[in-house]
Amino acid sequence: MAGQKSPVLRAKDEQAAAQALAAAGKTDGLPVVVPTPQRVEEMLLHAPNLPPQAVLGSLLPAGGELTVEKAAINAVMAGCPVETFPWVIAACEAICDPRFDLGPLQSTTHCVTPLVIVNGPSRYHYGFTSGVQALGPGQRANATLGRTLRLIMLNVGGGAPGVGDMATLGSPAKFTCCLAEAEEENPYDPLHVALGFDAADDVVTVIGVEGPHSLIFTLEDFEGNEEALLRTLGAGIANPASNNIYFGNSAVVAMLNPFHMRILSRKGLSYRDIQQRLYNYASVERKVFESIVGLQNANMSPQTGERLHAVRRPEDFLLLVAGQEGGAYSVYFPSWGGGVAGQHPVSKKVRLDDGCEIPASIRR
Amino acid sequence: MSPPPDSDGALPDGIEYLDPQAQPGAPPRPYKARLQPDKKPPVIGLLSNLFADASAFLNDLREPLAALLPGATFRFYDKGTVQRMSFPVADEVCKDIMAQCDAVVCAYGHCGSCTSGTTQDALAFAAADFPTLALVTEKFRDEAFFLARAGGFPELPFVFLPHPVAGKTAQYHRALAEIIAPAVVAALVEGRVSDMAAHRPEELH
Repeated sequence: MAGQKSPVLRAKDEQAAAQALAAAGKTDGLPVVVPTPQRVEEMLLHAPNLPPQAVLGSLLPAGGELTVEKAAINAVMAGCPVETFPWVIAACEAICDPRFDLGPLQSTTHCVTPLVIVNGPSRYHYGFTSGVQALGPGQRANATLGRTLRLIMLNVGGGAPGVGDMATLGSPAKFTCCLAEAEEENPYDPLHVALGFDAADDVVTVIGVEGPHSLIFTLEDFEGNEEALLRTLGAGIANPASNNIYFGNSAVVAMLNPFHMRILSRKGLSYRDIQQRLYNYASVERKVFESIVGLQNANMSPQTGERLHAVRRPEDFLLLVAGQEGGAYSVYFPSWGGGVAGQHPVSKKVRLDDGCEIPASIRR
Repeated sequence: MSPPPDSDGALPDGIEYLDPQAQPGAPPRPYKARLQPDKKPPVIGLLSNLFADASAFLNDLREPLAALLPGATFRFYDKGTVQRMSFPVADEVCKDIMAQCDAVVCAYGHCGSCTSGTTQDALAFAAADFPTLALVTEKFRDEAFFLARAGGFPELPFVFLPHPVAGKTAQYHRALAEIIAPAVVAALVEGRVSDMAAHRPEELH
């Protein structure tokens, strides 16, 4: 299916074009790279064998048509390195997937935003990072992939503040929230393998979450520390202010640093053991919850037992490894929980070998 | 050949750039559906999204609506679970409403995602040329208008309510229902949009 070609706009110079984009509400408020036809064309050369007018899907709430060209224009604006465009396309395919439920995610008053996780053997070659400050400043590929999605959600999905995006306060994570997994540090299967892909696949996983919450756990060597770590993490996830306890209906991402994940693996816990323990610990007695928040505020969880769990099933905990070796901090990402299915990961394979490869001439 | 449209009245030797924005998916259409209560006593569907107090408030609307629409009867519907309130109404419920009723009141938009869901409900009925309106609280007015435009019906009837409705007393709800009932009828019969946000039953807070 062929989509609409993007209109060409004019300005007297680059600065005026950037100002016009900002004034029209087409940016995230930060400066953008002006998407000139030449820059967009260069980005499109890295499209995985897709023509510019190929339609990737329509994005709610506006129902705008996301073409490969629109993705490229917004990727240029975000400052994406052109060679990472195949990863942008995979992320776009993920948010276009009906399972991602983009419409309600854009419209809600909650601060939910896509977390983008990059897996696979090529991720470091393309500049994605998983270590120190992977979620913070200075990581160009991470930052610009997440930012591209936000610009697309704004410009194609209509997620303008106060109109299509009703978040009460928003979140800094809504500018960008993207990193690679430190697969080599993970004693278990990396995320994409746990989700059913081959280890040799390059994969982008997207899930709607809040920004990261910090977990501190410092002691490595004492008896029972693995249970203490999981109890601490579970208690953080199950705090009564959390949407996961209120709705009981989504996945939670636990992103452990290598040190924390090692504590668990050295004690012989399986991946499934960890998920089951987190399921047990990330819960609160219904009466305790109601005594804290008040009966009138409790609650929309479909769960009926004496304990309210943050998720419906142990497998709704996604575990991965990222972050600096040697620190005491990991992070976890609660989710919004609204919608029929809540927020769950949607993964798409990156097509790196379909791009435009032009062999160099060896003739002089 | 004329030059491409200028975004800032630029000189011909300025730079060109591509528009990152996509047009909304649905082209605009006029909203023409009208309830004709003079022909026969109407059956009004009341579709609750199950947001807090939405069903109770719709129930409170029955009496004042019946006073304005002589002989009117009412049928209650809901979206099944609160988890569905952010999503469009199920097709089978939509079809049942259109088979059994002459018009439908969708309620209510009271948060970001449920305003989206309720407006999508009204858009689905509008697309079938079935008289409808969405009740939305004032805080979500801009969102509702945006969604109506994006959904192809910029004239979709809304009645905007003072915010909040949820969590108020039954007395307040009944008083508010009395106040907005004429606007609901005007929406169904004339396709009119009414902003009732200023008509708050203040003394009943």
